[in-house]
Amino acid sequence: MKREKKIELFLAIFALAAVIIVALIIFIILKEGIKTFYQVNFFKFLFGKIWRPTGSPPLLGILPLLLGSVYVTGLALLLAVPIAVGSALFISEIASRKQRDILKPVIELLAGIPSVIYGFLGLVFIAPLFQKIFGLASGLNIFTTSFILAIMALPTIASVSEDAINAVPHTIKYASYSLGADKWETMTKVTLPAARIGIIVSIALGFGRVIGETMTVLMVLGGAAVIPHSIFSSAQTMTGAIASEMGEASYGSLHYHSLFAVASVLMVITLLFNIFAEIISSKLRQRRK
Amino acid sequence: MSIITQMQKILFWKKRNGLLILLILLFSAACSHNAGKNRKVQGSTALILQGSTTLLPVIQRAAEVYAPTHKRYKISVRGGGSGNGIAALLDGIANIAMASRPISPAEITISRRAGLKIKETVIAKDGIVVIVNNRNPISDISLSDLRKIYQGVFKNWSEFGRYKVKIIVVSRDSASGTFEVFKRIVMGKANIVASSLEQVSNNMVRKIVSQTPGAIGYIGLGYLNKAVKPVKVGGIKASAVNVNNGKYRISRPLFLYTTEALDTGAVKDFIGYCLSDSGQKIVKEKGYIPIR
Repeated sequence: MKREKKIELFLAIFALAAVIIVALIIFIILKEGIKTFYQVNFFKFLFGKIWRPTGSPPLLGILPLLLGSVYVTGLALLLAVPIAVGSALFISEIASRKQRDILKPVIELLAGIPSVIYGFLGLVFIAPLFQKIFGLASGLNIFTTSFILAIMALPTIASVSEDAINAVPHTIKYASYSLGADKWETMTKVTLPAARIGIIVSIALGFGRVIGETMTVLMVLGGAAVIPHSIFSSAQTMTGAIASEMGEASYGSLHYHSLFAVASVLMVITLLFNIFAEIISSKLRQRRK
Repeated sequence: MSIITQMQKILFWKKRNGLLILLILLFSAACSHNAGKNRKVQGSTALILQGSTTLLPVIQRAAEVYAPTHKRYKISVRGGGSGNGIAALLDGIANIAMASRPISPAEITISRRAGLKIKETVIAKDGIVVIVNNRNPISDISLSDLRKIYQGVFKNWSEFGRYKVKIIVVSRDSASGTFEVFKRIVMGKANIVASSLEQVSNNMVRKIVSQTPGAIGYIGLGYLNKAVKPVKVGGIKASAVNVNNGKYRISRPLFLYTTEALDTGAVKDFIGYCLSDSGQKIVKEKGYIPIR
């Protein structure tokens, strides 16, 4: 076989390896998780309101964990998206060369900080601070966690949004100016709508980043597996529950399999969102051609 | 030729099948479960201790003192909780499990299924001390009131005096031996309130209680320091003396678990060291109660 073909084959095997690894991960998590449903009703698991796996009898309802993940992620995105898209707009449309040269690396830097440091700062500084400011009994709650997660998701959303905004053709913007619109009108009514697909992709990526976050959540959310009743409630997410309880579960026990079932739910949600982002991205690429 | 056509050639070309088969074998080897089988963890010169964060300070110090005179042994010590440690022992990942609660019937069943015989050694005793924030004026609480607080019956410290602050219940996650024992001795059949803040280590519990005015928590006696305020239970203070004479009820033995097969060489020697005068001195230094 010619040398070039040998190299191509070699690289193809690496690519194949990646596919096999992903397939194996999905397979193992589902395999271990499904065993839960030999003993627990699927709908009681999905919609059950109490998560108490070490109680007698064990109660395995993941609604508190699901809602915890959803609320924390939702609030984080609500906080992050306006600021991230705003920053992206500023960097693309308004900032001078010098300002851009400083802002872009600084935002990238935020992405490089390990999540355990965010969690630690949250626990030691931000939570007590919010406790004082809002007069709360405890600063370890959804609001504090979402605040920190928003900072963590900011660079991801901002950088993809910035790419999308930059990709809006100059011609469209100049057309808008020539019709008499000022910079603000052009940005909000022309540029942003034109970039909306890319911005949606950036939000989907931000979602994926936040919903999988474990370390920060473990340290700042409070670890209370109850259905949250306000943004200042302590809560628990799917990731947090798995991380803090996996140590207990003896191999093969119901608790062990139920944690894999939680992981399965998390994995399905994340996969769906990734696929969604991928479909939208490819639509965007097609449009450009 | 495109890569896809090439891959098709691999699958159907006898000569190249070897490569694919090798890949598949590698991956199935990686997946095959060794869990539950008794693998000798690197022979008898490696000490891998895992488990209770309560025992961690003692074992870490003991390992530090033990290591220089036993240079041929490789020692590694990690936390994760009693459940975690015992699971690691049963999975063959660790050769000594540190536990602040006795091994459970479910875990014994798993050990039998794996053909392992568990060997239990008590190396110290511990008091679980109830702590509150330094601002909280309360200094004594009855066992039944403590249970009710953890059940969520009492919602505010004003029910005990003039401290009008909402009660924040801090507890441990279910991997914790500290949790198991607190549940058994204080709660009995009652469940801890669902809104309790479950933390993964003694340190986290202490940190949260120290910075939250309304918080109440429980930690191993060895973790007590000036950042938090200890509370007497039923008029009895948590101390070594009171644990040994049986007056302080929230107490428990601390264990090292291993298997009969592993109980040789480094493992046997180290467990022996923990029981020796030198080892028991370390137990006392760290705030626990020596067993002799």
